[in-house]
Amino acid sequence: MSLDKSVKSQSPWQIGFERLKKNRLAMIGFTLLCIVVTISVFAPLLTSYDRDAIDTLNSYQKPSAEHWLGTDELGRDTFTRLLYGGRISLSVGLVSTSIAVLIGVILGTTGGYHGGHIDNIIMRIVDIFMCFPFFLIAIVVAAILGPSIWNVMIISGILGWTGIARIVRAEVLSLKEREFIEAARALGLNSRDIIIKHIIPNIMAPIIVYATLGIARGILSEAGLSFLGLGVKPPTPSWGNMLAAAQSMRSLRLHWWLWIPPGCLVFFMILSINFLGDGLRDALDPKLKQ
Amino acid sequence: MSEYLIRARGIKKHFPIHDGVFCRTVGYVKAVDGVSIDIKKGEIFGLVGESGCGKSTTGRTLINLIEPTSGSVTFEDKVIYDVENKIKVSAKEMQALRRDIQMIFQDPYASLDPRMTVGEIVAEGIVKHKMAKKKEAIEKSMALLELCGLRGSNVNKYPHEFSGGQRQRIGIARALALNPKFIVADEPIAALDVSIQSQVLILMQELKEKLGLTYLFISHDLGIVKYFCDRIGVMYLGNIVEQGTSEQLFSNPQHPYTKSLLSAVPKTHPREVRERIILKGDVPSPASHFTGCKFYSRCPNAIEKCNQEIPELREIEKDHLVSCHCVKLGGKI
Amino acid sequence: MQNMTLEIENLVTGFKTSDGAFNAVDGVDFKIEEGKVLGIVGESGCGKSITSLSIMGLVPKPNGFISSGKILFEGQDLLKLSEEEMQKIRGNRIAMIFQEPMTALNPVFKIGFQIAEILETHKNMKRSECKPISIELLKKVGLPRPEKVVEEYPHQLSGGMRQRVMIAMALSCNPKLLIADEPTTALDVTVQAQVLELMKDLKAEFQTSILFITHDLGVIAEMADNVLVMYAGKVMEETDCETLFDEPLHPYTNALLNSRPERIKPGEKPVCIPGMVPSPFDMPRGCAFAPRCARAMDICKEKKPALKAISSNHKVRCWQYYSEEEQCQNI
Repeated sequence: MSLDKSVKSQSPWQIGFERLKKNRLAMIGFTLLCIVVTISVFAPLLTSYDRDAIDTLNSYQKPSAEHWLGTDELGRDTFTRLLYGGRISLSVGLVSTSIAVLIGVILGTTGGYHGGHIDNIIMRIVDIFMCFPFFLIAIVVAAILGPSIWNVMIISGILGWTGIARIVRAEVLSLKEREFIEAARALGLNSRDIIIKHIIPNIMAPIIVYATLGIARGILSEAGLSFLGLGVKPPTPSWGNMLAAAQSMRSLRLHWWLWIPPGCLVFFMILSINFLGDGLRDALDPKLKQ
Repeated sequence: MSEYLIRARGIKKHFPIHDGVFCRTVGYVKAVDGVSIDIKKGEIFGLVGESGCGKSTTGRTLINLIEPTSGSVTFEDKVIYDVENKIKVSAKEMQALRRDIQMIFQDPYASLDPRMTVGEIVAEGIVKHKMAKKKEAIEKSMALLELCGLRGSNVNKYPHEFSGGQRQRIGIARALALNPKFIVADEPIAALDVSIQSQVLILMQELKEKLGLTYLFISHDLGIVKYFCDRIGVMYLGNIVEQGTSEQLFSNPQHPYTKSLLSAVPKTHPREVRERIILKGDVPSPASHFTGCKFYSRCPNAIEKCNQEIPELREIEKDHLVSCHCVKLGGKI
Repeated sequence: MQNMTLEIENLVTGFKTSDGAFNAVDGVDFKIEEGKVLGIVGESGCGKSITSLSIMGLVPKPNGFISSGKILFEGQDLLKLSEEEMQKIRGNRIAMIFQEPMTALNPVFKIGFQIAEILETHKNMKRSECKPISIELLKKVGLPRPEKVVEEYPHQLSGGMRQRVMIAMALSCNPKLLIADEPTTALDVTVQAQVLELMKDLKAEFQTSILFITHDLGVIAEMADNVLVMYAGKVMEETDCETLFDEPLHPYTNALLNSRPERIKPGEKPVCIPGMVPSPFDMPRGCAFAPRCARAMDICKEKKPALKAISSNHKVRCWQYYSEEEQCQNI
C-alpha cells in the first residue's frame, strides 16, 4: 500500500466496528437492545401510571387504549410495570456482569501473567468456585439474608467470574509469548505497565464478548430467581417476578397479557444480546481477517 | 575503559523439565550451556546456529531479559549480574541500563502491539524513561521514523497498515528511541522477503555508523552473517563451537560442524560444484546428558576421546577459537 | 518434442475481498516436461503459491476462483473435472508438499496411519498390507528406524524428519507430478541440504516431474532445470536454470540475483531493490515492476509489456528488449 495516500487511518477497534456494522443479525440485536434500554430508562416519560399504584376496581383488565397491556390482579398497569421491570432486569445483568468481569480480569491476568504458584492457586480457586451449584447457593443465601435484588446481583457476580477468568488467563498466556511484550520489557517497562498498557487492551475483545453474553445470563438468572420468589421482592417489578405472579393456572389460561409480554421480552432480550455477542466475537477476532 | 562493551563469562540458562503428578523437576534443558562472549565497541558480533541451538536464548540471557542460571555479564565496567558471586543490579538500575541495551525482534508481525499507533510504540520507551513529555516524544518518534526510512507522518497509523519490511523499520526505530549503545538483533531479517532483506541490512549498517552502535546479530543464515559481521560465533547445542573473524571462519573453518554448515549453504550458481558434508542423524535433545563433545554422535571424524572428554574452546590462532579435540594448534587436523 | 506432464495456458486466478477483487495469478503459461524440475521464484504475494493451489484445485472457496485458462495434466484439462474426479487425482497422480510439515500432518494420528490412509484411498489396499509398504516408503526417504517411526506421532519427530514423512506420503502413489511449495523454507540449512539431496535422488528414480516453488535462488540453483520468475501475478522471465544465472535479462531477476548476500563482497554495499511489492489493489498502470526498476523508461510506466521470446528457451517481460519501433507501435 502506498504511504503517500492520505487514507484516514483506522484503529483495530474501528475496523472491528466497521465489520460489526455489516453483520445484520448483530445490528438487529443491537437495535432491539437499544430500544429496550431507552424505554426502560425513560419509563416515567412513557407512561402516565404510577408503577405501584393499586386500583382494585380495575383488576384483570384486558388490554385497551387506556391500559395498553391490561392490568394485573391489583389493577396495576402491566405496561408500566414491564418498563420498570426492564430497569431491574437490565441493571441486574449489568451489575452482576461488572462484578464478574472485574474479579475475572484481575485474577485471570494475574494468574496468566505471573504463572507458577500464583497461577496454580488462582486456578484452584476457580475450580472450587465452579463446583458451587448456582441456584442452590442463591436459594440458600436468599433464605438466610432474605430475597433482595442486591443479593441476586452479588451472588450472580461472585459465582460468574470463573468463566471469564479462564478465558482471560488463556489469552494472557498466549499473549505473554508475543514479541511485543518482550519488546516492552526490553524498553524497561515493569509488569504493571505491561499488564495495563499492553495486555489489557489486547484482551478487551474477548472480555467484551464474554461480558455481553454475561449480561444475558444475568437477566436469565434474575428472571429464574425472581420466579422462584428468591430475587426481587414485590411490589418492585421485574420480568421474573411478573412471570411468577402470573403462574396460577387461571392466569395462564385467562390473563395472557400478564405473562406473554414479560416472557417475550426476556426471550427477545436474551436473543438480541446473544446475536450482538456473536457478532462482536466475529468482528473483533483478529484471526478472522478477510 | 576497556575496549569491550559487553563481556559475558560462562553464561548458562537451564530450563527445568517438570514431569509427574507433583510436577517434580526431572531434568534440565540446557538451552545455553556456558557461553563466553566479548563484544568490542562498534563491532558486529554474529551468532549463528541452527534452530534450537540456543542462540536466541543466549542473546536474551546476555541482556538479562531471561533470568540466567549461572555466569556473569559486564556492560561497560558495570556488572549486570554475576550468579556465582551473587551480584545483581537492582531492578531500578536495570531499568536505567535498558536505555543502553535494546533489542530488535525477528517477527515484525508479532513484535508491535496491534492496538497502539506507531507513534505510541516508538515513543513508549521515551515516555517511560521520562526523557520527554508525551507530545515531544511523539515528535521525536517522527524524527526516528524518518531516520529509519519511513515518513514521519506515519505516527498516527497502526501497525497493520504496514508491510513486513516497514514494520521492521518501526521496530528498529523503537530500539533507537532510547539512544542505546548496544543492540541485540534476533534474526531481524529472517521473516522478510528477499528484496527487502538487504534494505534492512543497509539501514542497520548506516545506523551503526551514524550512531556508533554495537550489534549482536543473531542469525541462522551464514550468507548474511558472512557479509554483515566482523566476528562470528558458531553455536551448537548451547555452546560456541567455533569463533573467529568472518574471514577466518569462512576461509578456514576448523570445527567439523562449521564445515558442514558451510557446505550445506545452497549453491550460488547451478554449475558450481560443492562438496557436501551431509550430517548423519538429527540434533540430539538439549536435555540429554553428554559425557564428551556434544557433536560426537554426528561428527564425521570423531575419535574415542571425543565421547569421554568435553573439548575446551581453545585459541588456535589469534582471535580464532575452536572446541574440538581433533584440531591442533595452528589449525591442522 | 518431449512428453509434457503439465501444461498451463493463460491461467487467471482471482480473489474477491471486502476491498474489491484482484487477480493473484494473471495469465500464467508454462510447461513441465516429464522428469524435469520447474522452479518458480518470487517474493510473497507474487502468486506462486496460488498457482500451485490452482493446479491442485484447492483455491480457497468461495473467495478465490479460476476465471480462465487451461490446466492440462497429461493432456487432460483439470479445470473440467468434477470435484470427485479431482479427488482421485489429488494425492495420487499429483502430490503436494507444504512448507510447514507440522501443520500439514494431523497431530492426533500415528505416522503409519496417515500413510496408510492415502494408500487405502487411492490404491484400494487393505490396512494390513499398508504397514510394510509404509515402512518401505519411510526407508526410501532416508528416515532412520522406520519400523519405529510408523508407530510415532508427528510431534515426536523433528522438523526434518516430518518433512521426510511428508515426502514419503507424497510419493506413496508414485505421482507423475510433485508440487513442492517452499518445502525447505522452515528447515535449517543442514536439514535443507539433506532434503534437497533426497528430492533429487527420488526424482531420478521415479521420473517424477517437480514444480518447485521457492523464494530462495540458491535452492533454485540446486534443484531446477527451468525457472519462472514471477512478480505481481505475472511471469517476468522464463528460461533454463543456467541461462538465468549466466545472463539474467529482466531487471527484477538481476536485482534479485545481486541482492543475495553471498554475492556481496566485503566492504561493498549490497544492492537493494528500493520500495516494495505493489498492493494488488493499487497496481501500476504499466509494468508492475516499473516503480522499483532502476532502468525504467517512460513507456514502462504507461503500458504493460508482453512476454517476449528472446531465444528459443528464453522469454522476458520487459520493454528494454523491444526495439524502438515495437515500442512506438505500442504507444
